[in-house]
Amino acid sequence: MRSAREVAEVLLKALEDKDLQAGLDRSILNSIPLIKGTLKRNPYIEDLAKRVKKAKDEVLGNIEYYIDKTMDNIRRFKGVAHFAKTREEVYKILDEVVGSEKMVVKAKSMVTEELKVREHLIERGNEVWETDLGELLVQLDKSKPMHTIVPSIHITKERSAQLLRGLGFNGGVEEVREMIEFVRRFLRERFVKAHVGISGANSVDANSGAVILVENEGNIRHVTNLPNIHVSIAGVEKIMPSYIDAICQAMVQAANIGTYPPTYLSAITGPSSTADIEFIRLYGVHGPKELHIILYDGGRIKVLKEGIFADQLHCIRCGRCQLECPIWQLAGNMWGGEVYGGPMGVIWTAITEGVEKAAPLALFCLNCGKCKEVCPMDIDIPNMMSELKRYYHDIRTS
Amino acid sequence: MFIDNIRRYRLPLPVEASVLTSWAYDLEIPRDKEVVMYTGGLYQLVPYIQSTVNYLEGLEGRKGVGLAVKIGKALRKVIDFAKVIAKPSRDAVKRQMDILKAIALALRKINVDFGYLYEEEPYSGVLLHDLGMEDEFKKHAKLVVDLFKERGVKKVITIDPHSTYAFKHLYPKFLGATDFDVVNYIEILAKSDFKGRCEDISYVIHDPCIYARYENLIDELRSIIEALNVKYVEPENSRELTYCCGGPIEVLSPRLAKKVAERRVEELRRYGKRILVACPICYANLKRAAGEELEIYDLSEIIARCLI
Repeated sequence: MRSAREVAEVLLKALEDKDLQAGLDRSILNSIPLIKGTLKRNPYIEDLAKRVKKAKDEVLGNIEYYIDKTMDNIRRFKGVAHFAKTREEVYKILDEVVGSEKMVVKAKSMVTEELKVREHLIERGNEVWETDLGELLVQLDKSKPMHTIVPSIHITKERSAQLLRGLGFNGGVEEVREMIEFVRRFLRERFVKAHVGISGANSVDANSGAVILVENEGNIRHVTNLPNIHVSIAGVEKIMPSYIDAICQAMVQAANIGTYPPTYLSAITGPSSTADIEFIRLYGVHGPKELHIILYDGGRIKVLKEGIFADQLHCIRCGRCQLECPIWQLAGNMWGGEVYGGPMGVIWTAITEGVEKAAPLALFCLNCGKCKEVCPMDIDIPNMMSELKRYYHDIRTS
Repeated sequence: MFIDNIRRYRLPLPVEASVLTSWAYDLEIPRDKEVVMYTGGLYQLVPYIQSTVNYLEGLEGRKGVGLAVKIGKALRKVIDFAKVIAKPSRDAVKRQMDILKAIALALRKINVDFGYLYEEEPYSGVLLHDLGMEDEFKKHAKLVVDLFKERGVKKVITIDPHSTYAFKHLYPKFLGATDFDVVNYIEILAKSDFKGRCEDISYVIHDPCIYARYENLIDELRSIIEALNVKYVEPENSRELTYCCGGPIEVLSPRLAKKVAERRVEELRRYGKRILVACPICYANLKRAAGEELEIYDLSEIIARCLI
């Protein structure tokens, strides 16, 4: 287990990182007023958040039942349902479905970061591209996402231009518009050639197996539509009891990011199909011919049973707590584990990497309660931080 | 080091008993009362916390021996402590004493009858809990509860957010129901009908996180200020959305704590030069970050100036 001092050194180093600091300042300055304005203009989001929380209580209280139900209904709508308990099981499924020497396009998704899906598929001899602009920059930068929704806040436009030069971009560092145009052209070829598209899921409806996805760039539409095969990976906590609850979760998430309504809200139930000739339903038309949905446990079910960190599974991954946390504002996801950072990220680190990883991080929680205050799911993060602090001390003294 | 001090001296920093109690002698506050005003030593320690944290900040950048070992060696005894840590100025010490007196006088003004335990007053132990040392905290809390019982304390009037939170929430959580009632002085004052004379000065409110988000003492604070006829401004991060002063991590990383405070100061100064706080920890940290740029006042200082 790392010591408090080792964590302090990482945090103090983050203070010296000028790009990170500038990025953090910009994202805080721009996003918080946007989010507050969005929530003020759409007061019904607060009611929807309450509805989502209740729906999540129902699912998390009966998780096995809902996993089975979701799997059954994915199959009913001609999708292929998978359940993976561990990372290795996910890899095994991907090896079967994707294989090697394929072109793979990816949507940004934290659970695929957690599983290191990109790295695994590359290792298996596939060409893999992140298609969310920010995540593509993170891929090229070989760093980690600094925020759940805006992963590239630590990458300046100068650095972006430099990274894109590696792909053939030859415009100036001030030409952000040109960079976007370049990436659009660059990825367009790959979207068309791709055999497999991989996405996460904002939520999954247990009644239909529908996968809900929120985005603004339009890359997810390509990822989930152009390749022959679409694989969606979702943590089991993303299951919602009904189609409308699943949509509500996506709406609440989008509003708490401040881009509301989102440019695109996709609901995908089964592979593409037609019944236009004699009412006989056939699968595989313009969109994917196969849809695989992997419900991933990764320690979540155990967490639900043990109770200590169960509250975190209500998380809709909006990243609002990150933006509002005084420590995250100074260090970004450098205050975190390998994947998740900030208030929610320290607890997610405890869930996905173990309490020993998370405990020393938790010491730097101010216990100021702001994360809980702004969390649309009212998750008691400070309370779980206290548990981690206690754990740190117990290990140190034993 | 702080833990060791709490074990030995029942306080996070080893200071002479007179530092803690001298304020009360002037007011001749009685000892034996069922209702006591509880300071937890926090206001009295503010000048010493400031010196200590400044000292730690100097050590923080240096490589080599672990910070904890260095400060542990340096600050273990009263004598060593006095040698290493710069002695706070008389003015700084007096100011905190005046704050305590102001709170006591305000309570007297509205006819609250109370005593004070003087050198017997124990520290709440809240720092132990904040650092995750729950077993130590529980043991310490038990001592406090026993002491209150022995001294016949039935009701504790708290004057800072941290002790309030400890007594109201943590003690019952770890020890079950306690035999004494806990009430914060802001709650008492908000319920009374005192008046103040108008001061033509406006203050920017900095809500302590604990009052705002854990104790829901938001409107009470404002009703006191309004009753005093004092003007105030709400910054963007106000009420339930107030912003932390950085204090809770000042012993882990003084530099990081100061950075948090600087962000808050940056916001507050856009609204005005005079800041109203209601927590000794907030006072110490915002002061450390703001220097002479802002004037920081404790609520009780404004009460003392304006109460008729």
